[in-house]
Amino acid sequence: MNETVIEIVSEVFGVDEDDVSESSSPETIDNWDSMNHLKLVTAIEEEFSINLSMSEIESITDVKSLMEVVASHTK
Amino acid sequence: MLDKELKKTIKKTTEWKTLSDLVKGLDFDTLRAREVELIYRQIDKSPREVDVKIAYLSNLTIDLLAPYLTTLSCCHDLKVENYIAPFGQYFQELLSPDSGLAAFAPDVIVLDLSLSQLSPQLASSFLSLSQEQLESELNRIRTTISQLVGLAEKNTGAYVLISNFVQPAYPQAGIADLTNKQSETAWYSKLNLALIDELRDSNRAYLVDKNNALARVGKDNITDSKMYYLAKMELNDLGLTAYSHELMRYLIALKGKTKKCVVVDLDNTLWGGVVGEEGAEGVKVGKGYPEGEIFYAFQNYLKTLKQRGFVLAISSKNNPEDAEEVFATRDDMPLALEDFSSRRINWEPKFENIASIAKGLNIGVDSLVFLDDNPVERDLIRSALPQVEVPELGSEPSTYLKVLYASPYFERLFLTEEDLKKVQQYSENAQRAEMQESIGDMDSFLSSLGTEVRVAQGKKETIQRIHQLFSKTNQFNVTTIRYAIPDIEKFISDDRYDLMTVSVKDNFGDLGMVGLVLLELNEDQVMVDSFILSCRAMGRKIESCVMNLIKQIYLIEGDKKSLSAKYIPTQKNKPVAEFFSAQGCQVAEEADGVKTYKLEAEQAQIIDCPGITLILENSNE
Repeated sequence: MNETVIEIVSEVFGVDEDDVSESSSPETIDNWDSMNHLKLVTAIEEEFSINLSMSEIESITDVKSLMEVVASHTK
Repeated sequence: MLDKELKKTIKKTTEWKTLSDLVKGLDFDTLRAREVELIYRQIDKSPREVDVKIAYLSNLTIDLLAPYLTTLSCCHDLKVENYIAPFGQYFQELLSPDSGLAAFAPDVIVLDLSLSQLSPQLASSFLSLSQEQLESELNRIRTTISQLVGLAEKNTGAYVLISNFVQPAYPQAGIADLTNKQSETAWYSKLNLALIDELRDSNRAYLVDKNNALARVGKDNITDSKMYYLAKMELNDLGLTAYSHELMRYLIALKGKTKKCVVVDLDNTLWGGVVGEEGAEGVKVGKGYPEGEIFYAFQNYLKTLKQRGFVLAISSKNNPEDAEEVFATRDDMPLALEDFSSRRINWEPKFENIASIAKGLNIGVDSLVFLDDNPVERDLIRSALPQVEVPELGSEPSTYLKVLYASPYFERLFLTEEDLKKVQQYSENAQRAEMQESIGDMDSFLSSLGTEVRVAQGKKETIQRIHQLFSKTNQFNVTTIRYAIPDIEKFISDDRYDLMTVSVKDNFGDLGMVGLVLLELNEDQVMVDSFILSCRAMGRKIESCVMNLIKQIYLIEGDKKSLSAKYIPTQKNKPVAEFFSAQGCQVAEEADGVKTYKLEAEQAQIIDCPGITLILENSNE
C-alpha cells in the first residue's frame, strides 16, 4: 500500500519516486501547494476507493500522515 | 486507466509526434485526473510550435481545465499553450496593459463565470428576491458580460469563448418552481437567452453552451462537493471531460480543422443488408420497422449535415447498377443519389477511390470523414490515408449517430455561407489593419485596398441575406427598422420602393453582401427609409460611395426635387449619428433625439471616395 502512496505522490507532484520518502512534505516538495494537495487527495481517494473527511484532508501534512490516513481506511 | 508500462513510456516521452501518437491511442474519456496531468506535463515539456494560446478567466478554480483541454487537443493534433489568470481577476486581467494576460497574448480566451460568485444572493436564495431584483440582476449580469466582451475585443486580439450559465439541477422551489410566478428555471433560461442575443452577431466572441454540455453527462455527476467547498472547484473529472469536449468543438472550428466532405459506404452503413445479395427491395431502410428506422435516421442525419454545408460522397464496393437501383426504386429513403456530389461505386480499393473523390472535389484528403461499418476498411483507410478522419463507428448501426454527435469535426461557427465568410474575413481584416499601420495616412490606405463596391437591386435570391442585414445590424443602421421577409418581398416587387444591396470586394478578399439601402419613392422626393452597413465594412467611405450613387440617380440626373432621411437613435447606432450631416444633409426637424434631414437637389454634392470602384448591376439584364 505504501508503495502505491509513494507512486501517487510522485505522479501528482511530478517528482521522482526515489525522491519521495515518509518525511516528504510541502517543505521538501516544491509542487506541494494547496491545489496539488487536493489533486493528491482526489488521486488517493480514487486509487483506494475511499472517501476522506475534511478533517482528514487537513490532517495530511506529510507522506507519513497520508499513509496513516489511508491505512485507517483500508484496514 | 493507464497501465504501468504505458505510464512509464509516457513519462519518458517529450517528443511531440511520439507523444501525440501515444495519446491518440488512449480513450480520453476514461483517463483519471492524475493521468491527464501526467500527459499534460509531458506536452508542456515537449518542444513544439504552438497552434493555440489559450487564456482562462474565471471566478472559480479553473486550473484543472487546462490539462484536460490540452490533452484532448493533443488527440486532435492541436498544440496548446495555456495561461490561467488569477482566480476572480477577470476584469483586471482584461483591463490592464501590464496583466499576465496581456503579456501572454492569447489566441483564445475561455471566459467561464459562475453565478454563485457573480450573484451569490440569487444563487443561494432565489426565493427571497423580488421580481424587480431578479430583473435587475439579469440586466446587471448581461451588462457585465457585454462589458467583458467589449474589453476583450478592444484590448486583445483573441477570440472569446464565453460559457453560458449552468442551470441548477435542483431548483430551490422544487417542482413548484414551474408553477411559481418567479420561476428559477425560467430565469436561467431568460439569462442564457439574453446571452445568445448579446453575442449572436459577434465575430470574435462565441457563446458556449456549457449548461447543455454538462447536462449530457448529468449534472448529478459533475461536481465533487468536497472539492467545491475546499477549493471552489466546480467540476470533477467527468465534468472537465465533458466541458473540454465542448470547447474542443470551438477550437476545431476556429482553427479551420472542420471537415468538408463525408464519404459513406452503402451496405450496412447507409442501409441494412447487402444489396448484391438481397436486391434493391430487400435492403433495410424506411419507416415502420426497427432496422429500417435505424438507417432512416442515419440517412436523415447525413441530410442534416448536407444542410449544414457538408458535401456527401459514396465509396462502396458494389456493382454500380445494383446500388443505383436502390436509389431509383426505394422511395422510403431520405437521401437521393443526387445528394451525393461524388460517387465511386466499383471494386477498386477504397483508398484509391477516396483519394480520387478528394481530387475531384478539389479539396485535400484531410477534409474528408469516412464512414464505414467494416472495421477492416476503416483500418485500411487509416493506414493508407492517415489524414482522413475515420470515426470508430462500431458494429451496432443504432449507435452510429452517437459516434457522429461526439465528433467535433462537423462543427462550424456559422450556418450560412455569408456568416462563415465573416470568420475568414476577420483574419483578412487583420491583414487590412496591418497595412493601415504601415501606410499611415487614411486616404492612401483606402486607395491601396482596391475596393470594389457592387450595387444591385434586391432580388429573391438574396432575400435571406437582406433579411439578415435588416434584423441583425445594429451599429451602422440609421433607423433600425426590423423588416420581415414578407415586407422585403414587397419592397422588391413594388415600384414605389428601391431596395439596393451593396457587396464589397477588395485586394484581400470578398466581403460579400455587407449593406443595403431602402428608398421610398414619392412624387418629387426620395426618402431614405433604411441605410444599413455591416460593421466590418465601416470606416472605408463605402457609405459615401453609395450615398453618391443615390444623389446621382435621383437628384442630379433624376427628377426628384429633394431627399429626406431620418436618424433614430438606439443604444448601438451612435456611429451613424452624424452620417447624414457628413453627406451634406440639413437637419429639418429634431424631436426626442430623432433627427429628420433634408437635402435639396441643387445642393447635392458628390463626395470624394479615393480608390473605390463603383459597379452598378442592372437586374433587368
